[in-house]
Amino acid sequence: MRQSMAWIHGWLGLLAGWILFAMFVTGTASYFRPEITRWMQPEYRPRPVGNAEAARTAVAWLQKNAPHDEQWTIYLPNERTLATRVFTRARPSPDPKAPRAPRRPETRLDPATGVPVEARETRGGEFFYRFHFQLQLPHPWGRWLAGLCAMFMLGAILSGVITHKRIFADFFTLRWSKGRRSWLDAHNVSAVLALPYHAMITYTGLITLVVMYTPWPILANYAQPAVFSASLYADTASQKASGQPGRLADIGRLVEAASAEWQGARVSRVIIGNPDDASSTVTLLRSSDDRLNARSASITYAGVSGERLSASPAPGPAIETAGVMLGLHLGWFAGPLLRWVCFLLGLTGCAMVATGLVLWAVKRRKPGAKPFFGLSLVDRLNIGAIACLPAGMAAFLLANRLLPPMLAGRADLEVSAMFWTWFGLAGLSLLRPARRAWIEMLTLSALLFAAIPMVDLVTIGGGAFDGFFLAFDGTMVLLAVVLGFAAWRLARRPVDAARPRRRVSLAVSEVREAMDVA
Amino acid sequence: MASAQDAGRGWSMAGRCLTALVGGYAAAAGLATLLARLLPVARVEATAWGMILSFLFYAAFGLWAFHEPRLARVASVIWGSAIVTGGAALLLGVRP
Amino acid sequence: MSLEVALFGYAGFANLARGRGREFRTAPAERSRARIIGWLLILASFLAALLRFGPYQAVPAWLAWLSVSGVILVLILSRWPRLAALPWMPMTAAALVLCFL
Repeated sequence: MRQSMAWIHGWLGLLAGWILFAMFVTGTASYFRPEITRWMQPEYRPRPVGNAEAARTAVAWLQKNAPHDEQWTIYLPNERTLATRVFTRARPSPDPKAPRAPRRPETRLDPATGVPVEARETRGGEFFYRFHFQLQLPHPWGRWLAGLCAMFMLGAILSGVITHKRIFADFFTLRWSKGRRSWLDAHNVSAVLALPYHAMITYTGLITLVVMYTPWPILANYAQPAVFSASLYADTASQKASGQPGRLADIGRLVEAASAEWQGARVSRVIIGNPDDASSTVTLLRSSDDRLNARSASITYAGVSGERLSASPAPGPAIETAGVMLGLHLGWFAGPLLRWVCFLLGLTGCAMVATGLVLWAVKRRKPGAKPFFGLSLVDRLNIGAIACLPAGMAAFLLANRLLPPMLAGRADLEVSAMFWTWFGLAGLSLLRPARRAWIEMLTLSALLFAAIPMVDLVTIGGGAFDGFFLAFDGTMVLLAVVLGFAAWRLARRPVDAARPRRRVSLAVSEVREAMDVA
Repeated sequence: MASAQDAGRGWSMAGRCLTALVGGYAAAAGLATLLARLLPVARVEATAWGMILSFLFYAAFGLWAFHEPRLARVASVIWGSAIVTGGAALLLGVRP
Repeated sequence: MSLEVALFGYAGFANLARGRGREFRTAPAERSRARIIGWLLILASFLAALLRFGPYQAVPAWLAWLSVSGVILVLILSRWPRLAALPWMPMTAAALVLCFL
């Protein structure tokens, strides 16, 4: 049993490892999704307004700019997300042969004035968040690939636990500078000590897209699948437009009414279906920042009259379980301190994946012998995936500061900066011997992270700095230090053909992972 | 001959991988669907339980496919489960 | 501020490590006592989480804090074994104080 599980663990981990590393890194960064967005639009200092007012201004803008769309989704601002985020879904074209309209990215509106945020155009933290589960691939391939990798991760966790012989005996064991043994210790420690977290994050991650991955139970129980989502929460897509024009009632009043019904709890999201129609509906979702269940209660009102139509039913155990699983993955319930804890655990997950990948190569390296092709391939992919990705992420942030704020299309340029840096460095690393490549790429990543606070100071100026920017830049410095330390430790060891090629200690790996987060 | 043996092993491994990946998914989906269809609780609840458990089923099938040494057994159990559970779910039709 | 959950956790793990006597030497008589103290502190960690987060969120918050304190302990243990377990008593005291703040 142990042998077969060890075998499958190694292969599942290897094949999915490079993508999983990127998912773990960008996912960990996403714990601070709104903070990253805020850092990337430093000139944006909004005047905070109440939810009702924010909803009003958003609706006013939408009525001017997307009056005939099928559905508007408004994410109201909160302490962390300063702007109102709106998404619109256009009416499907009456021509069945017309291609489906592409999904539109969000628009960020100022909550006080309702106009698009006047700051440099950027994807912000949303970029890392979307990459995390879409991998920059077109829909649906990205999500499918991410899901497959997550399944591999689940298999790797289960097989890893089964195969780990002395899971409790080795619980505290971490030996440095012992080559292969150190890598195994590092992998075990990062995997076992945070095992509840890794298992939770993997399974709940799959659950976030379960409707896409396993829709079959819905089809078996519902003649019309849309009824399933309707019985969970209001999905206005199923509501038919009456064809008569209608004007929306005051949204602010509805927001206040819902909040009152929820004993003062905030409204987090407003979904308006068929906004220009007489049968428009307004669904308000309660904020879930104070609870584990991310799928919170909703109340639906008629859009034109403001009459309360219905409220979401109290969830049964299965639906509650699904909601809690979603909430655990997103981590919205976490206060500031707990959020940093989740962040550290995410980094531990990155360490687990990275040490696993490195271990795979280290185990198969024979001192003095020339590595076989597969081993070289794995080695090179490791460098590209682990050492070059952080440089790419740093480049994304640097591009934000270095590109002129008024430049058209700069949001896409920032994204390009990330990918060009990541893959470009990965390609360049092929020209260097593996060991040197590790050291150089890590050093480069460290330098790029160190550059961020300096560039920040120069471009934004000290006057605009407040606690938030200090904290963010401080984190960049820490990441740079950690990366630099890794490179230094690697460089210290003399290259000796008789000994195992890379006698790296845990610090390097722990560090390498810690760095990958913006 | 060594190469023929290797080729045989190669095909056998490919078959095992296919069974684990595709067959495993089919079997897990079938089992989850059957569970959702038959569980005597509220419709929305049963559907949710089926969906929640589907990944566990998939992982179990997938891991077992590489644990059990006899490929014939692996293939017959996994593909068989897929066909039986899927077929049963289809025959039962949508929940009234 | 839920630091006491982590402090109890660290102190608990430190005692469990002392109880094993593998990472550094502990007198055999000490070991079973350290193990008992260790488990009690882990329990205290859970109770502190219950107190701080309420029954609903206690388990995930506890596991999260526990994991982090475990990782930190192992990192320190691997480099400075004797120092790692030393502060467990002041940590426990600090944690008790934080519980009531």
